[in-house]
Amino acid sequence: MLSARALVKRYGQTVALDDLSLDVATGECVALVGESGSGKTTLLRSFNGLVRPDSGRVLVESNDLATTDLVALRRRIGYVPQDGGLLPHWSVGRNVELVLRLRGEGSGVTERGDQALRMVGLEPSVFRGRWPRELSGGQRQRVAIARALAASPSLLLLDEPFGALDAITRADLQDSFRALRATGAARTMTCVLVTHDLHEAFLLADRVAVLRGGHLEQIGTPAELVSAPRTTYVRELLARAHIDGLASSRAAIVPGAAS
Amino acid sequence: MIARLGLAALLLATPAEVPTARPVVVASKPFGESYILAEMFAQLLEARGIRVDRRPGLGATEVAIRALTSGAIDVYPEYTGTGLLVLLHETPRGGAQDVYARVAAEFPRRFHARWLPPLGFENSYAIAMRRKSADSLGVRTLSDLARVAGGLRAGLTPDFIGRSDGLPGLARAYGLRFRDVRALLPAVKYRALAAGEVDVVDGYSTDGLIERYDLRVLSDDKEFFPPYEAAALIGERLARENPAAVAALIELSGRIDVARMRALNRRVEVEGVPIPQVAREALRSLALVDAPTAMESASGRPGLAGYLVASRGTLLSLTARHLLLVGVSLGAAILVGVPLGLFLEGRSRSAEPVIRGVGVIQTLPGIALLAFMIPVLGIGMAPALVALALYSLYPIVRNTFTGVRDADPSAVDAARALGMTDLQILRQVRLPLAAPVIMAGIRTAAVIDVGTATLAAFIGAGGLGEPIVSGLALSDSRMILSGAVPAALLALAVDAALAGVERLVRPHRSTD
Repeated sequence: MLSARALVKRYGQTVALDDLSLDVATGECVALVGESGSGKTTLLRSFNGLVRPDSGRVLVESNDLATTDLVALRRRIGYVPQDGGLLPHWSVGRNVELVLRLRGEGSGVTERGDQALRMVGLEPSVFRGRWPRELSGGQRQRVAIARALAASPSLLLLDEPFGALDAITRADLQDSFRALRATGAARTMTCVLVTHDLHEAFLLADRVAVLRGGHLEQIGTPAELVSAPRTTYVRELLARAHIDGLASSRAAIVPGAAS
Repeated sequence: MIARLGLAALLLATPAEVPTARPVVVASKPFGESYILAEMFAQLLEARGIRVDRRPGLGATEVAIRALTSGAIDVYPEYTGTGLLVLLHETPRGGAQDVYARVAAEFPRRFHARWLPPLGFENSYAIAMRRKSADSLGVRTLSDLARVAGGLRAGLTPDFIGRSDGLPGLARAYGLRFRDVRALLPAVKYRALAAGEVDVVDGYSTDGLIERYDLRVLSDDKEFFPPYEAAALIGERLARENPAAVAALIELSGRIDVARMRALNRRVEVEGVPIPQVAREALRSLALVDAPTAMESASGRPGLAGYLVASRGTLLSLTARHLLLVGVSLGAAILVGVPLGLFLEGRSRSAEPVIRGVGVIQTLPGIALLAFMIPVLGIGMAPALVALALYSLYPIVRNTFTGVRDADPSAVDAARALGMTDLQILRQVRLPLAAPVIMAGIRTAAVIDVGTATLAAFIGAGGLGEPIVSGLALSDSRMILSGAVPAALLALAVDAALAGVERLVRPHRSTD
C-alpha cells in the first residue's frame, strides 16, 4: 500500500530523514513515534508529497510520488493536522465537503458531508452551519477527521491529531477513533499516525515505528516492542512511559496517565 | 468623399497652422506677486481676443521652468536674478542690464524660452525686522545687522536658506551669523516675526506684508543681492506660433514700476481683494483695457464661514477634482500593488528588496516626486496621477505580501494536503484570509493619497490643494482652511467608505 524506500531529507545542516525505509500494508494502522526532530512528521508529510525527499522513493498504491500528479493523489488521501487546519472562513459544512467538491462530485455532497459529521459524533443539523471558531478544540478535531473521511479515502494521514487536546477530550476522541477503526467507515482504511505519546500509539495502532534522528529504531506490534525491544533507546522509551511487560495489555493503559 | 476625408485629416494633423485653436497657457509660481502678474497677463491676452488657460501656483522655479521648456505652459512671470542664479547657476556681474542681457542670451539655448522686455520694476530679496526692535538696536543696513546678529533669531523660508543668493551668500558677504535660524513658510514667517518668535525674516522688496506688519527693510549696503527685474518668460512655441499673444504681453513691458507693484501686492495681501479684481483694476489704470461698464463693489474681508459660502461652487468642483485624483490613482495603485504583492510572495528572495524599493518612493518628499514627473509627463493630471499612484503603492504591496504570507499557515497547509491547487489555495484560502490586512493597506494608502493629492496643485493638477497653495502664498488662512478642512473631511469620508468595504470582505462573518 505505502512504501518509503531509503528516504533522505536534509534541512540545511539538519538531517530529518536518514536513509529510512518503511512499508505499510493495506488496511493497517502504523503509528510513528519519537521525540521532536526524530523525523516522524517529515516522514508522514512525504507520504502525500508535502515533503519531497532529497533521495529515495515513496510509493503510494504502487504510484511513485516523484512522477504522480500530487494534486489528484492528495484528493484520495485523508489528512488531519494537529490543530485541525480548518479553513476559518468556511462553515463546518463547507469544510467537511471540501474534498468532495475538489473531486467534482456534484450529487450527494451535502448528504455525504452530513454522514461524515455523524461518523465523528456531531449532529449535522447543529454543526453544519457553525464557524470553526465557534467550536471547542475537540469539536474542531472531530470536524477535521470528518473532513478527512468524507471522501472515503483509502489512506488516512494523521499528524498528532489529538496532541493539543486536554486529557479527557483526548481520551474521548481516541475512543471514537478506535470505534471508527473497529466497526465504522475507517475499517478498511490504511492509516499512518504521528504521535509523541506512546500510550496513544499502543492504543490506536497495529504496529508502532520508533524513529530517532531520522532513522528507524524498531517497528513492530506493541507486544513485540514490549517483549523484545531491539535497542537500548526503545527500552528506555518504554520505561520512561511506564510501559513494561505487565502493563502491556491494551486494556490496562489509561490514556494520558503517563503525562 | 476621399478628398474630403483627406482634407479633414490634414486639418487635424496640422494644428500649428491654426494658432488660435490652442489656448495660451499662463502660469505662475506660488506667491502673491506671481499670481497677480500672471492674472494680468491672462486678462490682457483675453482682452486682445486670445483664449487663455490658467495654471497658477506651480510648485517652484524648477517646476515652472521644466513646464515651460516642455511646452506644458507658455508664459509665466520670472525674475532675471533668479534666472541667472538658480537656473543658469552663474554669479551676477554688473548691473540690471548686464543680468538681463545674459539671461536673454542663454535661455533660448538652455531652456527653449525667451525673456520679453522687463516689466519695469525690480523685486529683490529683502531682509526685514520689526520697526521697533530695529530702532532700539540702531539697525538700518545689513552691515548694522551683522554687528548684532549674534543675539538674534532668524525665521527664513527654506528656499532662502538653501539658495546661493540667499543665506549662504549673504552670510559670507556680510559676515552674518545668527543665534538661531529657523525654516519657516511664508505664511507663518511674518506672524512669527510679529509675535516676537523670531527677530529677522526674509521677504521681497515689493512685499505688501512688509507694510501690514510695520517692518523695516534693511538696506543692502554692500549690494549683495543681484538685480531681480521682473519680466514675462515665454516658451519658444508661443514665440513661434502666436505673435499676436507675444505682442499683447509686450504691451506690459516697462509699464509697472515698483510703487505700482507694491500697491497691487498690498491690495491682495493686506486688503484681501481677489486677484482677478486687482489685475483688472491695474490693467484699466494702465489704459490697457477698457473702463468698466459698471462700478464693482470693493470687497471686504469676509470671515471663514462667509468665505466658504461664497466659494462653495469652486470648492465643490475642487473636491470633485480631488476625488478624481484620489480615485484614479488609488485604483491604479490597487491594480498594480495587489498583484505585485502576490507575485513577490512566491519569491522570498527578491521580495524584500523590491518592497523596500517601493518604500523608498514613500520617503521622497511628495513635491519632489511630482517634480520628477514633469520632464516625462508635463504638468497637470497625468503626472499627478502617476506620482500619487506611486505614493500609494507601498502600503498596498506591503500588506498584500504580509497578509498572504501570514494567512493561517495551518489552514493553508491543510488545504494543500487535501488536494487544492496553488491557484485554488490563493483564491479560496489565502486571499480571503488576507483580505482584512490588504484592506487595511488600501485604507492607509487612501488616507495618504487624499493628503498628498493636495500637493498636486503645485503641478497644475487642481484639487483642494489649489486654495491651500494660494492661501499659503497670500498668507490668507481662510483660503488655506477652505482647502484643508474639506481635504481632512474627505480623508475621513474615504476611510469610512473603505471601512464599509472591509466589513464586506472580512472572512469571519459569523454573528457573535
